[in-house]
Amino acid sequence: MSTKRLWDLVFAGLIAAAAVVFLPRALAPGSAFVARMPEAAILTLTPLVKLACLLVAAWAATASARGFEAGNPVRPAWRLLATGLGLYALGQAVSVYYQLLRDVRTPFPSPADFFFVLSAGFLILALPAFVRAFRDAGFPFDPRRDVLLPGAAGVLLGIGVLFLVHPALDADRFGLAEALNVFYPLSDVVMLVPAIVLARITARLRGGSVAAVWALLAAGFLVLVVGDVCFAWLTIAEDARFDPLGDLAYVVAYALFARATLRQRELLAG
Amino acid sequence: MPPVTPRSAVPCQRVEEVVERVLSPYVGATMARAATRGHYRALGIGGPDLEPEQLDSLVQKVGLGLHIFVGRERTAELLAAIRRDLDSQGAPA
Repeated sequence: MSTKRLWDLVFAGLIAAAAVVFLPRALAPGSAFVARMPEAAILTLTPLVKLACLLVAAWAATASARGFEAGNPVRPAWRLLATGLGLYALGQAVSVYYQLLRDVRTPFPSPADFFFVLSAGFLILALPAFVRAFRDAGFPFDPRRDVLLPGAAGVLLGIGVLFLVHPALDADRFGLAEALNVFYPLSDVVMLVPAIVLARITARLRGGSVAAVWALLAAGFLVLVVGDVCFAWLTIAEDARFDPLGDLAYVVAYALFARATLRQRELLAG
Repeated sequence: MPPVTPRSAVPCQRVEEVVERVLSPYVGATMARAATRGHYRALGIGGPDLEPEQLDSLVQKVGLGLHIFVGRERTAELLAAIRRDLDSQGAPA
C-alpha cells in the first residue's frame, strides 16, 4: 500500500471514528450506546487527536511553503496558512494543558483564545492569497464567475451564521467571552467568502491531484465554521448537545487540514 | 526554464494533446484544455502550426501555471516531459 493511500485511510478512519463517537452523544445522549462509551478515554483522546492533527497540518504546511521557491506566487499563501495552523496548534496545546494536566474544562476565555484569535487573522489572509496565486499563474480566471457569484453565496451564508449567533450580541453583560463569541463567528464569515471562492476554483480542477489539496483545504475551512457556530451556541444557549457537535466539527476540520497539507507535500515531492 | 527548441513548426493540435496529457493528472482534463486554449489566445496563436518561438512562449506559460501547484523542480521535470514528447513524435518538415 502506498503512503498516500495509507494516509487517506488514516484520516478517513479518524473522521469516521469521530462521527461514531460524537454524533450519538449529540443526537441520543441518553442512549445505551452512549452509556457504554469509555468516557475517560474519549475525554483524554479528543484534545490529543485535535492537537496531533493541527501539529501535522502546521508541519506539512511549513514544509510545503519551504518547498516552493522564493518568488513563487503561492508561497505566501502557504506561509500564512502554516503560521495560522501553528498558532491554532498552540491554542489547542493550551487547551490540552487545562483538560489533561489540570483535569478541568478549558476556561472561556483562556490564554488559548489569544492564539486562536491571532490564528484567525493569518487564516483569513491565507485564503485570498491562494486565490490570487491561481489568478496570477495564468489560469483562466473570470472574476464574475469565479469570485462574485461564489462570493455572494459566501456573504449569504455569512449572514446566516451571524443570524445564528446574534443572541451573543444581546447578552446583558458584554465582556471578553461575549466579545469572543462575536469575533469567532465574524471571523468565520470573513473566512467563508474566500473559502467558497477557493471551492469554486477547485471544482474547475476536478480530476487532477491538485484538486484534492485545495478541496480538502476549502472543506476544512467550511467545517471549521460549523465548529465555531456550535461552540458559540454552546456558550450562548448553554445547550450541551452542541459540545459533541463542536468536537466532531473541529476534529473533522483539523483532519482535513492535515490531509490537505500532507497531500501538497506529496505533490511537491513528486 | 530551458527552451523547447523544436526543429520546426509543430501542429497546434499535437501540442495541445501533449500539453493536456502532461497537465491533466495535476489540474484535471477540463482545466488542462481551458488553460492551453487560454494560453493560445493570450499569445495570439491562431494558425494551424506553432512556430518554435511560440512553442517556447507557450511552454513558459504552462510552467508558470504549474509551478504554483508542484514547485519549480517538478515543473522543470514536467516541461522536460513535454519537450521529450514533442521531440519523440518528430516535427513535420
